[in-house]
Amino acid sequence: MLEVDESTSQSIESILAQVARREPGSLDFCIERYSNLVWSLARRYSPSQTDAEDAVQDIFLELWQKADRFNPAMSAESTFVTMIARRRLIDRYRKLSRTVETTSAETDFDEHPASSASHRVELIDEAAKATRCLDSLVSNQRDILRRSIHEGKSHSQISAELEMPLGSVKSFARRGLIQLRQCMERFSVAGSGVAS
Amino acid sequence: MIVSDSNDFRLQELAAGASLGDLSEAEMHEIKSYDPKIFQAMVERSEEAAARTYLTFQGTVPTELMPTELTLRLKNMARSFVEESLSKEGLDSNAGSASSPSRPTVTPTIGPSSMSLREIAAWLCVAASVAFALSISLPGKMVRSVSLQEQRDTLIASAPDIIRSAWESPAEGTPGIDRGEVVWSSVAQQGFMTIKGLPVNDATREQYQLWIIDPDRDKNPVDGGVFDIAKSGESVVQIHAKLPVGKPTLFAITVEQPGGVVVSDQKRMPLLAKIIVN
Repeated sequence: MLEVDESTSQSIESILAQVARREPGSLDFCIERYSNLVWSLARRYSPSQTDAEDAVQDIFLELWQKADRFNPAMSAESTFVTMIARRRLIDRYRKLSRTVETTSAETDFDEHPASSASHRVELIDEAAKATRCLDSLVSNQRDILRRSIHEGKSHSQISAELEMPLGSVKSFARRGLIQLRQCMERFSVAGSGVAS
Repeated sequence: MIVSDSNDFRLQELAAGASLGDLSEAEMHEIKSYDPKIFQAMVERSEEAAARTYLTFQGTVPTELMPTELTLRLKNMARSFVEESLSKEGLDSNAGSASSPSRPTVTPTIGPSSMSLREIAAWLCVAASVAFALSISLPGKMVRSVSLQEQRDTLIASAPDIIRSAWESPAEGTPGIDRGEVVWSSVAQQGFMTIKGLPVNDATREQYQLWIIDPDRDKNPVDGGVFDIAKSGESVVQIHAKLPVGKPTLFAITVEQPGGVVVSDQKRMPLLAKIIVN
């Protein structure tokens, strides 16, 4: 099962705030809380165990550096940790595959969109809402996103596995993610009482 | 033309591509036609959706546990990171900086986005050195100095593979005399010596040098670093192994010329500690 339980988010929200203040023991607590989540991500997105271990160290270093940017009103702490981790892993993958220069690593978490309140998420039923949004996708979109986002596979790999043209895989994945984002943001608007 | 409409479908598509890591070079170029702030904000929203999606999928499968050795390395890294942060705050405070003491003060140029792991490790070593230097040069400042004794205790408490062995004098061979001990963790590649009764040395004439015997890696001893005994009584000395040590069987202290030697003739060996292998 998932190590990070969103239902206990009230008790874990403060970890990154403590890390930002460099409170004694907070970094160790942060490692213990999120090690398995980050490790699972790194294993899926990395070509080898050694690379995954390097990536985990990169991710935690960045997490400690950016801990003060976590805003509990915007998302759950585990979502923030996952965002940092995925961004770092995709950045590493790009460098490893020597394709294109990355821009994502420079993204500044301070740059929230002007309408940030409109995609605030209520923490308690966040997972339930995400599940409902996923259920709204057609099955091959959901399957492609699972392989891409959860299993960390490249779109070329997915194309080969499903014997589907690469362009179609990219299109399904991107449009599926857009649909998911819009669905999650609609739930957020409803949950926060902001009229759409 | 710069596009600044966040409802633009192509912008959303490119942002989704960025958060999925599948942008082509042509698309990377195309991004320049969008307002950077609008685009980054859209990327962030897509990344957040992708993160939630990951967590939803992850909730349905068993989670792999992170290896203990990696957890230990992270905790060591955390200690160095905190020391560096605190020492940086001490420097800022000393320079009359207006930065808030409760916020991290990390120099952007040394962030991981532009550093390899090796560079990070080197940076952490430098950071630890700076923290140590500050603890000496800035008495009374708000700089937390972790003593070698504390570091040794932490290693003993946290490393899963600690080995400990008492020093003995090969010349005197007198059992029962407490000459201190050596502790070592191959997982952490760290160790400390507690030394009692070694004479204070004149560093301009001679210095002590540690050697570590690890038959599994090499027949030649590994240089464990040169050190001085500055006072009588008990001293705690950190081991600085120049090569990775896996299964040490013996630690030996020799007396050498200032700066140490590459190969010791072992003529003067005041202390050694044998590791009993089960």
